[in-house]
Amino acid sequence: MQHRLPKRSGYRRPYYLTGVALALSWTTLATAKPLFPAHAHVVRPATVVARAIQGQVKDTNGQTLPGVSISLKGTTQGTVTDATGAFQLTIPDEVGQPTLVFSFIGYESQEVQVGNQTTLAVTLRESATALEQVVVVGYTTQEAKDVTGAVGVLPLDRVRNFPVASPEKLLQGQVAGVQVSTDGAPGGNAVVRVRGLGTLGDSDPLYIIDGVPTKNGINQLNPNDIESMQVLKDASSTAIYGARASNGVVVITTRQGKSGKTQLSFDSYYGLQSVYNLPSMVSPTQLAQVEFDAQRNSGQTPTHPQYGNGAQPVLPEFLQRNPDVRANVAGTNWFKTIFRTAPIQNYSLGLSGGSETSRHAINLTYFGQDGILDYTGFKRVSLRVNTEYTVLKRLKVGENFTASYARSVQAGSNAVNGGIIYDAYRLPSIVPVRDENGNFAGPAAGLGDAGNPLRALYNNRDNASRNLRALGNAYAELEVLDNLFVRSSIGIDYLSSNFRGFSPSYTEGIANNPTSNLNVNNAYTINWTWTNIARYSRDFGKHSLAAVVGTEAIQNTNEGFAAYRENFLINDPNFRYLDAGQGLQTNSGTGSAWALFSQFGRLDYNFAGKYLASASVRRDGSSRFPSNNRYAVFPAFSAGWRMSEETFLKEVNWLSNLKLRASWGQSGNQEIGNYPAFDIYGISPTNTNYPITGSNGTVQTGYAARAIGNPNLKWETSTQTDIGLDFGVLRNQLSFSVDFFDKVTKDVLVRIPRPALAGEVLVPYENAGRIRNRGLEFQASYQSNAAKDFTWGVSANASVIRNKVLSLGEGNLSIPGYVSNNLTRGLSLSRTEVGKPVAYFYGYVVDGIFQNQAEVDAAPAQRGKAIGRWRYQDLNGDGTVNEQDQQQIGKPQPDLTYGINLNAAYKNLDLSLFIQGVQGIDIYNFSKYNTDFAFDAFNKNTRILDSWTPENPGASLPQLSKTNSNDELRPSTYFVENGSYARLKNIQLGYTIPVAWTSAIRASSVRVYVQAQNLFTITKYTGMDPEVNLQNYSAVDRNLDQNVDRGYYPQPRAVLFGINARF
Amino acid sequence: MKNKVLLLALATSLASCNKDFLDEQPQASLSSTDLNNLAAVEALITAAYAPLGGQIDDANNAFNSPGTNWTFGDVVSDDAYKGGGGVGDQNGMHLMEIFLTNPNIIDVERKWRACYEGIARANRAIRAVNEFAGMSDDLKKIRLGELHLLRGHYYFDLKKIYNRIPWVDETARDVTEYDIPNNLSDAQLWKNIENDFLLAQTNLPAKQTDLGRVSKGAATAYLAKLYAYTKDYPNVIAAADAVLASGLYRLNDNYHDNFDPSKEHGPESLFAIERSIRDGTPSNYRGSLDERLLNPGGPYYPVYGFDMPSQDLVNAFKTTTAGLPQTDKSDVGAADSVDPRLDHAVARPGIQFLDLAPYAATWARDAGTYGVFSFKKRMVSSRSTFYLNQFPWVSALNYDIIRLADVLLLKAEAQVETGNLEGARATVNQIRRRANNDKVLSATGTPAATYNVAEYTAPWTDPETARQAVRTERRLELALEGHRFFDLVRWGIADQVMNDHFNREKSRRTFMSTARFIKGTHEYWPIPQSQLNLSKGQLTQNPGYN
Repeated sequence: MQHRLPKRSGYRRPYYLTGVALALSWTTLATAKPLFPAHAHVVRPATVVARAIQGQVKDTNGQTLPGVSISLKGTTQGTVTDATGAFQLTIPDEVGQPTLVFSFIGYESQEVQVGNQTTLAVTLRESATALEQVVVVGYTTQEAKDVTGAVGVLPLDRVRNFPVASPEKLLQGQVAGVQVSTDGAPGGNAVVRVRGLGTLGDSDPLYIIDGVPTKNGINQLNPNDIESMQVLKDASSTAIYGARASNGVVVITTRQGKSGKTQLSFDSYYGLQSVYNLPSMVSPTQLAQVEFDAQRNSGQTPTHPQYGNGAQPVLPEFLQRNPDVRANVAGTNWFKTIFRTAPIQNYSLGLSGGSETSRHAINLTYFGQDGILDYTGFKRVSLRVNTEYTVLKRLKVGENFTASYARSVQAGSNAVNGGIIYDAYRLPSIVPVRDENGNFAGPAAGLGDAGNPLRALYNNRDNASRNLRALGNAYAELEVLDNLFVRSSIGIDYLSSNFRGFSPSYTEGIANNPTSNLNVNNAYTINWTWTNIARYSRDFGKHSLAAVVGTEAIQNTNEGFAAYRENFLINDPNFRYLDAGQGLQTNSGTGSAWALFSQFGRLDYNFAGKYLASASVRRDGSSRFPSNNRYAVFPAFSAGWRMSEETFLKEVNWLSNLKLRASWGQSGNQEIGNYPAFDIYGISPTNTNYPITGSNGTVQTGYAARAIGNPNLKWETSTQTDIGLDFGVLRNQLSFSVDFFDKVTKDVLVRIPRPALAGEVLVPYENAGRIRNRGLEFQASYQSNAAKDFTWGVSANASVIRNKVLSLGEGNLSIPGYVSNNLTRGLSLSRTEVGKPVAYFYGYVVDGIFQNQAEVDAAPAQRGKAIGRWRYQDLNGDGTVNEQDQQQIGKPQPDLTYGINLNAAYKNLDLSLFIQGVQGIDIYNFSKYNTDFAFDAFNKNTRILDSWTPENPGASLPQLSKTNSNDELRPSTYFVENGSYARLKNIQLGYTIPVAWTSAIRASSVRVYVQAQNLFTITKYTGMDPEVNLQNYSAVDRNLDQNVDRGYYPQPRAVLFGINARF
Repeated sequence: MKNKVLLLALATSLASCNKDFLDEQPQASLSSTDLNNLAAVEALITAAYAPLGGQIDDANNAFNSPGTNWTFGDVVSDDAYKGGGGVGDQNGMHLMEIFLTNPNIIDVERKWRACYEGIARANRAIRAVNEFAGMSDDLKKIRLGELHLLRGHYYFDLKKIYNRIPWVDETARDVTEYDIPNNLSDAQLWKNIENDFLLAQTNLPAKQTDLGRVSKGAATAYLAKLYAYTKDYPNVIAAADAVLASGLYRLNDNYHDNFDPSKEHGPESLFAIERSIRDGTPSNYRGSLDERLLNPGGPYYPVYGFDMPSQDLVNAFKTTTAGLPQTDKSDVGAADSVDPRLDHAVARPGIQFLDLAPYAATWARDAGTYGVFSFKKRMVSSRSTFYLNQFPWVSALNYDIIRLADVLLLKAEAQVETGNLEGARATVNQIRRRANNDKVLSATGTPAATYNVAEYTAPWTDPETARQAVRTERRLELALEGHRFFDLVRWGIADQVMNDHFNREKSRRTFMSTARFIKGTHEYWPIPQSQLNLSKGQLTQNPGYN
């Protein structure tokens, strides 16, 4: 029996353990020996006759190893060891100098030159297993088996080919305890939450890229450049990052070169994205009927500027007052009009290698994603150059640097005013896309005032933002004495952006913009980080010790400048510069700066690999805090017990790992703006300036208080306890890991809202709140024996998190939701309250529809109650429905988040599936505000056809009406929907082309694949996409506005073809 | 050597860092210590004027807190409907209009916040003036006069809208000092406001060089208004006479001059919200932003169509053959004569709209719900340089918080109440005489409608008849200028007028079918729920809103 050599391609390399999940790096792949090197095919004269070889394979402990694959290099022949570790193989005579390759899961492969031997005794060494994978734990590294904190390692091999612009999206569903939510906008960022929402303010994690911290987002980092990505979750891991770490830390290292042959890699995919699950809107005829029915129900004799005054509405041939505009009686599907099938593509060319004294890795990547919304898109070119030189015997110098340029055209989404998708919901379908003259058509009398969304996209098509980002560091590391290293690193994070937004003049139905204008914005941010560390590690017998101490200085400066000009002669893109305008010009500018200085240290100790302990401390000084509270100290401790190393368990052969971990520590959050300690007076031209001279065309500058400082402010502190258990059996083929955590953030910076008597100033931050996140995280995985033709594996992770506000400061029980005209139509949709999750939905409970007068009369007092109207519950039973009859009607944080990965491989074929989901989450579907009621003239969802009539008593919506006397637009259970979903995020089928075919192009491995994204979603949510999260804006209190769907940019469905080639 | 340098650097950085490294001062703004100079103090005073129009942040919804009170004064009265695109458009205003008010309505909240922002800015500026040594005593006196008048004005708005309001002055500094109850008596609140006005009257000069600043006349006129609210009629007359005696004020010759941006700061204007456009402000938010929704639609304006005049208001302008108000409330027909002020206030089909074209029913946004009449009074021609023909579609036209006609009509009221009926008639006749001067003309130069307005020639002998005549005159003269609802409440007839109005109008304006005004509750608006929640139990909700 002959066996084909099991594929060891990195793309399908099994994952042994997800508890400390395996990060199989690209470099591992790149340096893996080609399975079928081209030179092996050199045919030599048949000077040796065929002969039989036999032998036995053992491990380093002398145990025999069954199931070891043995292949004859350069051929497809091979075999496997039997139950006693023995094997036999016949070597054909044409093989000149036979070499056998022994490979076995969990062991290092070994090549044995057969020479003249006929009997072989082979000893395989256990390979660096998942337990020996290097994990970054903050300014230093540890082997996974020694880690005592909670560190989630992104299994990059699983997600490497996912078509995302921004690397943090790869974390979605892959690491327990990390919730990621994204929208479908091209190049968009994702919202990342590590172990829940610990603060009302900025709750994004800190990103550390090759040692350089950044809070500027990482969407300009190319996913292809990443070698490892890890999420530090518990306080013992994060505390060493101090005052910026309480929302978790994501540590990213980029690809480094390896000594040896220069490797060339080429990775590419191309795919098409499309929209799906479009809302079902009424036809023009139905909308007209709804309008007439509503008018009639409200006691009016129906009349309408478009549909006439007859008993029945009549659709006009032309939209009134604009004989050039032919009514689209068949109905315009505005969603189909604005969405398109759009390409996404990525080309990445990498070069890496090195010698004894130098290493280098260079990667050039182009990523392009056209938006599924017309005329939007994102393009990025990035160049990554990492080098390292060993200058003297004990001195290494090097740099890691990436420069990227991105151009992005975005459309406004998830907004009530000016939201493209929201307008597509609202513009009646009788309006054609274009009029008879080919110009964009727009709303007409009686049809609302939503603009033509395609016109808005078209006019926006050249309004690009251009961002240049330079991020990297240069370092020197000296081994001063044996085992004592000192390292100094200067990091820079520079971001410069330019945006030119032009609004042409246009006329569109009854809407128009007679004056063109141009906005130009330029801004830069520069962030310096100087890090100095000393590192020492040594074993003393069974005692093993590692220590690191260091300092870090960070300085951040930014400045912005904007200018505006009106009235451009022509709308041509070539003239969209300030000089070309003839009208009003204005400008504005601002800036800010902050600095951080830190000292830190960490000590790791273990005894005989069994008893592990570690401690760390960081002292941070921040310019953001007043001088009396400038410094903060963040300690952490952790311990681990590797029970599987104890003698009483060592004999248990099937048990490969059993480790109990516990940690306690503190970390902080200083994301509170730059000058919270100061009273700030400022100019807001829109509301502090005033024409005091009585002029009609000039204003005088006014200064108003903008913020009141708190001279006693401090950082937020999260105190977190974590207990975890890692468990692995059968050489970790099956592994399981569970973590319990309890994270309480105290001194949460809350601007305790003050009565309006204080004025519209930002009231001082106070260290007033306490928020608890408690949860359980599970990871489990199984991988079948790799030494078979058919291999398969499954891994799953899940986390359950309970978010609860414990305090909002003395006497302050609740904070109302984010209220704005643009986002909530002035309604408060949520509330943050002691004892409840942050920003839970708060409103009335709809309890059916009044069917008859007797029901109306019997119901509690409620203004506007009538037959056919909604009945709101009198929750407190006081006989009146009022303010007090509101309660929690939903929550925007999930109970459960999970991800499931399945993989299977047969010979050269490989298949993987990734399912991701959340459970126990609600969405406030704000599109219903306009589309489900006849109060206004906007377009309607087909749901409105299920409005109450005496003949339809079981309707979900109240009787059609032009009169909202029962205030049915108030926040209520009707608008809140179950947002749980399970989604097949990714399915990928790959084929590794046999080397025999690819050797002609000198490729060591070539894999092609087809991939599909978002193929199906199981959800009860009625909107376009349940993956709604934070409103996409940067307001400090944006966390108070979660999971509200106002026309969210939906995730596209995509089908892609790709290739991974190594030379 | 290299090693030593590195070690030295490391050791140095480990030990400490330069203390200055962590001292970051605010950029692009002032901290409180920077306020110690004249320009900064003057800028604080300017900023106290800035919220007069109701604009207090960078948002574009000052219409929820309008300085002109077009919502709180007109939409909720019998003079106007909310308008806009159906009842769900600015639903809060709709709920207010049908008196289904709740304390969460954005308008209720924002108006409160806008007024208190004005007060907070005035208080901070008063403190800064008092503490600043580099200002002459004369200038100090004038600036304090301005600030007290501004503060009094913001409180006046609050008082007439919310009635029971907490009072905070310049002595409150710490945020905790703002947690105060709204338990001052009516009399005490009025007294506090009066004190601000009196101080302003004493301090302010008769004229200011900067036309946008308030002067003595504004303070005196506001006192007349305050006394009308407190029913102190002799003092109304005294204050009104003091305004007239200054010799600085008279009625404009033409009624429409009051609404013509090229004739601002005329003899009739006492206290105005200054507006300006194309002044370098982003998005022109210093124009009439609080009224941007009042654009009537049609071929010359964007379609917002809010604050649509009611049929009842139009009917009130109908005149008898004698040129006196026809009070039978029947609809104005084509043959009927009307007071010419109607066509300055209300856009009616067929009547010339400024210099543009005859207004047509098709301009109206949602005629089915709100009828065909549109707001006209403070609309500036879209061809005018004083109008911004792009977003946010605002004009530079000032809004008169008080103009002389208002003062005269308050005086007439006081004359009636103090028994001087003939004096009242003379005062009202001044107003009517002027009304006759200014007719709306069609494109051909002929009067656009049959206009007939005349003085009351017969002596007034019956106080009730006189009272009604004065009140009617006030409604006509000041129509859609944000006063009507407050007048109804002040006169104690809001419940009767509004419920009559609803009964009459609900047949043609079906959204009013469930509207009902409850006496003792709806005269005032609820204290915003957010403010109740924030007050730590200090604020008490107005009756009927719990």
